[in-house]
Amino acid sequence: MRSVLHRLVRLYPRSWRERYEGEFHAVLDDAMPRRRDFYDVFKGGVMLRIEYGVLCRAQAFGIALAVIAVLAVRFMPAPYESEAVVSTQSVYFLERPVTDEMKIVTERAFNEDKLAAVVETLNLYPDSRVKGGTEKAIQRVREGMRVSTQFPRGSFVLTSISFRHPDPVIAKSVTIALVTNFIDETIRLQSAEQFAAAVAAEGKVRTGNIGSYKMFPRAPGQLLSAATEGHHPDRPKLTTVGGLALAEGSQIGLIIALLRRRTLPPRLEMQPASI
Amino acid sequence: MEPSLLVLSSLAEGDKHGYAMMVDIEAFSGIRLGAGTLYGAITRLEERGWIQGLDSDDRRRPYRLTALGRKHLKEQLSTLDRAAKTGLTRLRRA
Repeated sequence: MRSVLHRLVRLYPRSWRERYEGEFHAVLDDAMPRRRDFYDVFKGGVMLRIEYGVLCRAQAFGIALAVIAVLAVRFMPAPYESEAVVSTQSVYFLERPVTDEMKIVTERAFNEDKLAAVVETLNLYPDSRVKGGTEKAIQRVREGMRVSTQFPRGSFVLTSISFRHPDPVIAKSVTIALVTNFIDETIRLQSAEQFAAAVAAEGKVRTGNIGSYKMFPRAPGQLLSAATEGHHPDRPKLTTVGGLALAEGSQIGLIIALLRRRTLPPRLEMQPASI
Repeated sequence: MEPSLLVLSSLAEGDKHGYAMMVDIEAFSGIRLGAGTLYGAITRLEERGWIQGLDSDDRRRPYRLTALGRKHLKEQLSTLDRAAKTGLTRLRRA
């Protein structure tokens, strides 16, 4: 700490240092350094540079702004980013490009109405809603969310859906809502007839929403399950491989989603929940 | 309170080097001047001829209050004294 203070003396004008540097270092050695001394020594150097004509006021202002920006970045809490990675398989990959299908799904899942519902349900950005209405809140949701897709193999799509917010609970809640919309639209697009047939074959449909978990009947190309941080005995145990969550014993074509922490340690929190 | 005035007040007692001034000022005013603030004040006071750096074999150079500095300090403290007395009197009346 003291050595940093000594290094800051280099900020002082050369002619000043020729006269005062030795005794200034002596004071720094004698006095017990405190955190605010960094600012004091830094400010002293800038002020003397202005007085000695080494630095104009505009330059000093620029330096001060840069220092404030660096400190702000250093000390401001990083927003929490909650991310879900969803793996889907299209049954129509031979008939139509998967990219087209994903484009439709994302447009439908995150359109104005869907985001407005998310804003209303979770009571997001109340200040923005008072000032600029729901549109303003939707805009802020759009600024905080990120959706990206990858196409690792022909019919398979990996979609990353994330949302950033200072409050981890809100970040997770919004991501869960966005994933839910995404899954709903994926199912809707993947042929209502096939879905109905699968329901008939399985003899039951279990659709439960515990905020993060939905279970659907298994059918070729159909959504089987979506798992986030929720937990259900019927759902395969999640393991994390390379940042993605894979369900043990999962079959190709399952939807696997996992809310994954980025700014906090990547640890799964399994919480009992019921459908 | 103005750092220059604190430095002058400290040197009114006798010659002191930087750290000794820092300790003395904290003792009589409760204000701990940082090294940057202290030496900013010392630089300005010396330029105006109100204090004078003395020769020293040590890195710790002592400073002395000049006659000009003493006069300036007296004026400043008198002004402050008048302001303080007036303020206190008015507070008592209120």
